[in-house]
Amino acid sequence: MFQGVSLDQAPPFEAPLLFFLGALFFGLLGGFALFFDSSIATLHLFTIGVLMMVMFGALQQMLPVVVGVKFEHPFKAALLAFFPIFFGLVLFWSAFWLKLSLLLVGVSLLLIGIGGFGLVTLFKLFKAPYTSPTVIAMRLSLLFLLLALLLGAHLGSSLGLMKVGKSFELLLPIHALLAGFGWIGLLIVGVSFQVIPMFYVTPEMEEKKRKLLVYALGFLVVLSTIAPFIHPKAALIAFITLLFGYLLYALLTLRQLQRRKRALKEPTILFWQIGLGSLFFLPMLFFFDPQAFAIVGIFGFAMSVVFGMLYKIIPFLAWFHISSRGFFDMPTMKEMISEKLALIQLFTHIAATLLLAIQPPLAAPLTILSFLLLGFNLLRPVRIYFDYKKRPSPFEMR
Amino acid sequence: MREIVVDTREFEPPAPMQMVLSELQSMLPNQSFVHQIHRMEPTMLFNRLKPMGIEFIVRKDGEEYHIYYFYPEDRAKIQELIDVSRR
Repeated sequence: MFQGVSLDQAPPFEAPLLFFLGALFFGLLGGFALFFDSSIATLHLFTIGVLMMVMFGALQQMLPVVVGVKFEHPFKAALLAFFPIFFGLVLFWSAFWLKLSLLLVGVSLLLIGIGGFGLVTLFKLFKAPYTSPTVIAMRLSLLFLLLALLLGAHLGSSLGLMKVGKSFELLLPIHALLAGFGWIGLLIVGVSFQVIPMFYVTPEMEEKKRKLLVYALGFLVVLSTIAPFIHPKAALIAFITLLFGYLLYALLTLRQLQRRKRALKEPTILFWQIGLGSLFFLPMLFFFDPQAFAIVGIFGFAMSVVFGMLYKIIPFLAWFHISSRGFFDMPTMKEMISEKLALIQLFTHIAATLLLAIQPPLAAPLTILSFLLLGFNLLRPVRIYFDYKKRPSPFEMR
Repeated sequence: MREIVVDTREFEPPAPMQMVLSELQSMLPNQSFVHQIHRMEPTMLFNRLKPMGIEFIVRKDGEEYHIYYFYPEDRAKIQELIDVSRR
């Protein structure tokens, strides 16, 4: 007989939530930091503090669902990764203002937190009972993350020890390439194969196309990493081909979004469209404005997509966990998020991104406002989850 | 065996999960099974069902997924019904 539902496979909501809250904190800190700095120190508040935190939370949530494997103690695993990353990043950032040698402690903590979580997740992904283009993309993205981490640790330590050698200039763009296009980019590609048909009622992208995209992008990341050691022209050709590979991904995914069964306009679709649309500007910006290239890649593409996903994932998880305890009277996912406020946050985010590409200190107030709005919008589903958590489950009352 | 068809292809989450869970409550061993038609594999739902002793079979047909939910004792019958219907 039907015996109710079980949450054995899904991690507690608190585990991904911890990472999502960390992302909000670093987004706000990054916004304030922009008033006086837009160097690599502040950039990492957004790349590690916001993007990686959200990615780790999402990975922890998606592993049992998409891959069929799980963390044995999900909340403990989240805590063990979260605190070294949190304090490591704060130290990394403040080292640039206080004392460069603090970088060594910051980098060590980041190595422990990111390396530990990355290795365990990668190990679990290789133990997955089945593979799919999403699983392959996740494996590759984690491999690139670990490589980017090692390179980053080397670069950070050489800065901390004040022993910046000739290799620094060569390794810095490779670190950025692996982190941006290997780790963040490929993970978004893999996750989008799963979440777009799920949340936007579109057909799945054909498996052949998904596989081709993942393998081609992964190969081009490897090629772009090796090519600078062979010839500068080879490096340029490999990287431009990679950018066009991402452009193809954007084109296919935008077409997939156009084919959705219910063509309702809603803010999260716009977040995806703006994120994917940003990829079209990258080849041109790469040649004309490297700073704008980085901003459009990180904020225009990755951050927009991540915001769009958070607006879907957090209400869905809140609903999922509440309903799993037997409640059916909770607000719907649509009622949990105000579309109007999400739209205001979207416009604030776009304006902040444009200003960041032109004049970073001017972008600070809008970046802060964007993260405040994001936090306010996502607070409601979280509050609803905790309200229901306090109540006894109808299953227990039977 | 009574087939309870749930077409969730055009519904956003969490509706597909709600619809299937609701129909599963009226499913009886040796008497009925649930046949979901969906645009993707509903893995999140699978993970909720596994520990409850409800089994499922997935068949892909073009862009559509046909998922059959049943009690373990009905596996042979369901397998036969699927094979016949797909011939």
